[in-house]
Amino acid sequence: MRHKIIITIFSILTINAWSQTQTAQIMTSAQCVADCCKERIEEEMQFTKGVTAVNLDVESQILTVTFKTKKNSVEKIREIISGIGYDADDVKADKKAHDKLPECCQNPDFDKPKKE
Amino acid sequence: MIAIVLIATINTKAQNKIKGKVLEISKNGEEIPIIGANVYWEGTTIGTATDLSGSYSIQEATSFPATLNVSFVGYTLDSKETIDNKYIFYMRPSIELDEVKVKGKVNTTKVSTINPINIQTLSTGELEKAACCNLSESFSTNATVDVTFTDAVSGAKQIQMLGLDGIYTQITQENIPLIRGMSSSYGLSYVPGTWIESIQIIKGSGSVINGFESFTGQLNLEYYKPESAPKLFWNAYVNQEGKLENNLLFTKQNGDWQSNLFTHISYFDKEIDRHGGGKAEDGDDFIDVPKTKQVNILNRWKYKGNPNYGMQLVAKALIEERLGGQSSTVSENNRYIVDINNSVYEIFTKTGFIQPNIPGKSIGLQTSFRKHNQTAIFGENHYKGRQESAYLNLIRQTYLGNTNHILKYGMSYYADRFTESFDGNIDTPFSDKIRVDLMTGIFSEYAFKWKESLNLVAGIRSDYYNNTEEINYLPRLNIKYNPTEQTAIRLSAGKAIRISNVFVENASFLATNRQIFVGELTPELAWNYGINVIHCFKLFGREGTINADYYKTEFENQVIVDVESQGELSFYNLDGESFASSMQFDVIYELFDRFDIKMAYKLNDVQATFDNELRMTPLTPKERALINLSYATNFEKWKFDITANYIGESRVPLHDDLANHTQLIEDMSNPFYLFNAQITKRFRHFDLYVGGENLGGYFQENPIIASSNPSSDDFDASLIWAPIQGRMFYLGFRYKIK
Repeated sequence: MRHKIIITIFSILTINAWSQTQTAQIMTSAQCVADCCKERIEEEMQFTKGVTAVNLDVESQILTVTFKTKKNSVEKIREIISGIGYDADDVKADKKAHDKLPECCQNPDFDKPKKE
Repeated sequence: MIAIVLIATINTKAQNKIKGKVLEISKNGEEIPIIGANVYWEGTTIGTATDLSGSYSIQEATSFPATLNVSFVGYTLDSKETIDNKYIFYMRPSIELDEVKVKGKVNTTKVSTINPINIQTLSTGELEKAACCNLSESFSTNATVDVTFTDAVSGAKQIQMLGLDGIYTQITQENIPLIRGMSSSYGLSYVPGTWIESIQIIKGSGSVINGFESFTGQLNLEYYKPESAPKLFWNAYVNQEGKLENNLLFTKQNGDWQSNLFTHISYFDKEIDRHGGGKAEDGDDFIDVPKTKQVNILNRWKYKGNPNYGMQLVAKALIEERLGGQSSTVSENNRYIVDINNSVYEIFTKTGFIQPNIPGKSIGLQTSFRKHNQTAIFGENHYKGRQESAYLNLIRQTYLGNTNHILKYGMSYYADRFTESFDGNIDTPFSDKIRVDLMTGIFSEYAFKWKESLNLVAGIRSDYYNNTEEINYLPRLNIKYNPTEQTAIRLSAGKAIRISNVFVENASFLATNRQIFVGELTPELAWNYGINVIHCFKLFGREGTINADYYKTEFENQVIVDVESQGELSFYNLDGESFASSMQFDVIYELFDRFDIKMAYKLNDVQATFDNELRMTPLTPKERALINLSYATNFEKWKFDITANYIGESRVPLHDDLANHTQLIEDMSNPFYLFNAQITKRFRHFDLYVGGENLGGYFQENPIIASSNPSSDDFDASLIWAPIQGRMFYLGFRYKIK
């Protein structure tokens, strides 16, 4: 299958001790037509505590988030993404949230057995 | 578009042939071969089509690096991979009848260095800078389109482009005619700002595809689409005088049928008379803004169920009432009343077909049907009109060899029936006078692209007009050349035609006691030429754009609106010269993070022959300038925006001297500045905004001549060159559920 068969779990972390911020790269399952999932995820992140920069690369589906370590953590951010309806690294998407998404923002592979 | 650079080395064992497949991935994950997709080397004539199994085999490119392209109308490339030296393209369906889709993230106004036509796109971000209220205000931060004041009683606003009135600009909604005929005078207020997703401004003569009426350019607005609009959007606005606006937008995004429902209500029911009698806070018994009520609805249905076929239908309805004139302090018997009622009902459709087995060929059909009723009372002048319109445009697109040569052709049909009555300051009042305009046209356009740097679009239309029994040939040519990647030079030339409707187009002059003379009028014809240079630069690591252009419109025939003689309003065909030339410079630069500065300067020279004398067109400013500063905090949680406009002097035709009522004078208006500012705070689901218009509080002191005696011959509320209202504050919110 053309879809990314192995969802690599990786978080590249760079910690900047000086300003107490951290940049994390999170692999998401956001594959959608137009940019609607990009807007959705980025907007949610913009209103997440401590987040100072965010970008979702639609092609690679990698979300890059910079946040203040005092106010948030990678684990919590993954939970938030799951709560929007997308996978975040090894945290699976919340099914209810995913099903509520408009059709164009849903993940076509969702709920289907993964072909190995 | 669809481009893949093959950096891979070509396997020499492949016998100089590259093989692969073009496949579609269906919703349930099956791979379906696409038959007849066009696979070709970009910039060459080497191409091939896929067979029944979706396979292709194409000879090696002759020079490297080479780009292998795949195209199949109605599909876009999803992904690609290489398996056993086979290049596999995966496509997905995409029916996009909407030709332009531009998003503005960084710059809210986008200018292109790629498009052969001089086009600017205003995105939602730019449109939100003017929080109120409708299309006529959408251009307050834009230098290309000027908003002008029409008369002191109807509250209508008009636009000007390249120094000429809005009637010479083709205004379309999703490329279907929007403002024509009956909607000329108040049509801009029929489009609520919150419905608009983006506006494209085309300067100079554009494409022949969209019609024959673009003299100075085209304004095309795109409403929110079901796929991009929020599920629910609610906007409410109130200003200090008590004007209320409410907009509700709903969207249904799931299923084969997607839909939008937009509603708009605006309400203003106060009599305010603060200005007009000279200095501030000194009324003239005429209310400053008419009492206005408007209900406006749009409903769209879009079918997305079939990859070979796409369809959408939009239904619109509008009712508007404006009540102005003298306030109720004047006794009813001799009160000057302005009462304008409009109702518009409209349906438009867009349909697109793809022939599955023939690559690169599609057909698009646009239709529109409209009925517009208007009654307008300006004191003694009573106008009643009805316009029934049908519009049809059929476009076929194909390409010759490869997509470097695109050919579009088709036919269009415009049918308008006007039924008009007029009584008042005219020698020969008329009642239910009917005019039927039929314009039948065919057009073709050839677009040629050479190596990314040169584009040429050449088109011609021929339109037959029933009333003159003449065929009008309208050629148009647009050339773009990129000497460097950062620079574009454009040349354009073209011809346009329109049929005038003098009473509705010049409604502002009905707010006078001028005696009206209408001559035998023929269609208006003009050539437009232009040159535009745009350069993107980098200074201190930040990007900026510099733009310069010059356009000239030369009329072969024009319907002259002559207000040169006191107490007279005459319409006649041009006899002599008439032209408008416009020069504009723009600079856009990001001074520091999220702080943008935009500056523009414009010089107009607009002259026409009035009664054998070539003169400056009245009420058209010679000079205009604009500075817009905008700053946003991180994630745009706070946005600050301030605009300063300079409006230069314009000629005010012969009128009663306010200082000495016994004589007539002709003079120049005073140049003045207008300041607007706005602050927006963005929350998770809603935005809150406050702002002010005309912060400097500049207004025309005596906008109505002989306001104390509206029955006198001198009475004139049409010689307006500045705002008639002072400072105005507003606040509002936008609530969104995505």
